[in-house]
Amino acid sequence: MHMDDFFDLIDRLARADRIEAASTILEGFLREWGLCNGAYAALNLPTPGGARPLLAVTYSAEWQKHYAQNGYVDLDPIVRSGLGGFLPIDWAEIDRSDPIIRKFFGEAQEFDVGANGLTIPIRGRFGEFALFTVTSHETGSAWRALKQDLLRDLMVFAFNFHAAALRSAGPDEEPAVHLPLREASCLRWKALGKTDDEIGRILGISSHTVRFHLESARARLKTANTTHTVARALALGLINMSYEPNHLLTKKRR
Amino acid sequence: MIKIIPGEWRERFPRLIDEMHKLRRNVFYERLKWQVTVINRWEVDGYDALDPLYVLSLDENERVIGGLRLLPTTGFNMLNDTFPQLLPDGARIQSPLIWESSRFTVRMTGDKGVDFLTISRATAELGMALNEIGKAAALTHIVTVYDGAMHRMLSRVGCAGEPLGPPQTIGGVETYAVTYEIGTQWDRHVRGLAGGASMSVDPKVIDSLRTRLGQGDPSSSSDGARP
Repeated sequence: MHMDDFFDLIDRLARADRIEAASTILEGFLREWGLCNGAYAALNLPTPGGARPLLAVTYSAEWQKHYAQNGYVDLDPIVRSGLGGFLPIDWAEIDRSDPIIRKFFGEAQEFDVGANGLTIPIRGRFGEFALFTVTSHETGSAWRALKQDLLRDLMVFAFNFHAAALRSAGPDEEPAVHLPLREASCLRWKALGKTDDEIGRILGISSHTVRFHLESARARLKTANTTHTVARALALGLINMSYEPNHLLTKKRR
Repeated sequence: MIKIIPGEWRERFPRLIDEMHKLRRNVFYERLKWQVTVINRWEVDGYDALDPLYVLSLDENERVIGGLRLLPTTGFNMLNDTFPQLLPDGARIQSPLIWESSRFTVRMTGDKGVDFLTISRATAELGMALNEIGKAAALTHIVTVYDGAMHRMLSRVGCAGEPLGPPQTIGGVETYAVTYEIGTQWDRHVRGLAGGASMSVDPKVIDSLRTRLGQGDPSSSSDGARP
């Protein structure tokens, strides 16, 4: 997937505040990666009037009906493992020794769910849980290669999708982003074209801690990568490009 | 040898889980005298109830000699929810690509020679395991909170993390928040410490970890403990 396209999808996702809009963006993500289906299911969302589940899937209506009628939510191994742990789940690694599980995956394939899938369990700060899944027709080594390329972008996409779902579920205004000083300094030096090593030397920290601050800022500003984060921070006035050294120490100019 | 136990599987490994909590009691409560809760001889806290991922280092007799637990920073975790005073500018660190390690512990006898070997070995193994898990989950960093004694101990084996800021005194204990970067540099370092490839983390550990359905006979994967 081209970086600019990912950048654009994440940018649109950061502005989506309805689950329908987020689902449209999800379809774009699936297209870009040549994926088959996408599914998001959240439990325990902090919704006004009580916690409610939220679902957004691209599976066919037939599969959704079949899944519901057979009560598959109770035996679906992805749901069972995803709600307990938080490591990404590769469907290829699910134990299929039980004939019922084999039948389940066989039927899923008949309904064009996809031969393989990758599920990201999400734990949020309100105590909510969610699962974000994408599926593919690829198998064997092609699937493993795809997974390798896809995983990090998928993690970033999944958590941004979840943030959009939270906005969709709750009426609360999101608090304004506060960028810690170190993150702002790293972003500003990045904007001025410095490498991680150079920034580390300037700030008296190692390059790996520079990257820690850049990743933390990326998640905070809900962006796709460092370039995107710099652009967003500039647009929000959280950093500025002035060369006056004391501006490094001011959090907000505007 | 490394054993990775998802918290939701704890009843399958009762002996190892028991040893881990007792080791934590011994280190944090008895030795370091932290203000931690001990219930039924276990040091245990609310984060254990969130089903963290436990990473344990075992000796040749499969006794627990060290361990830690992992939680995503997007949910509840110690740094954000217990030690926010360690956060730079007080802003929560919550990224899907950064997980938190806590309750890092290594068995200590008080005999410096013996302890140094245990620390080197367990730290190297746990470090390698962290890096493998980090790669499997596409993480960039691990963040962790530990005390000054741990910082100095890990510094001696070249495994201290980089502090996010100056240490703070919390409950009478000098406390740091530090980071580790996932990747080849760290991997090379801990492998060197472990004496080359002689103590690698079996990739199957990670694979089996992700084969997470309790379809098989649970006793086949248990730790042989008696009820």
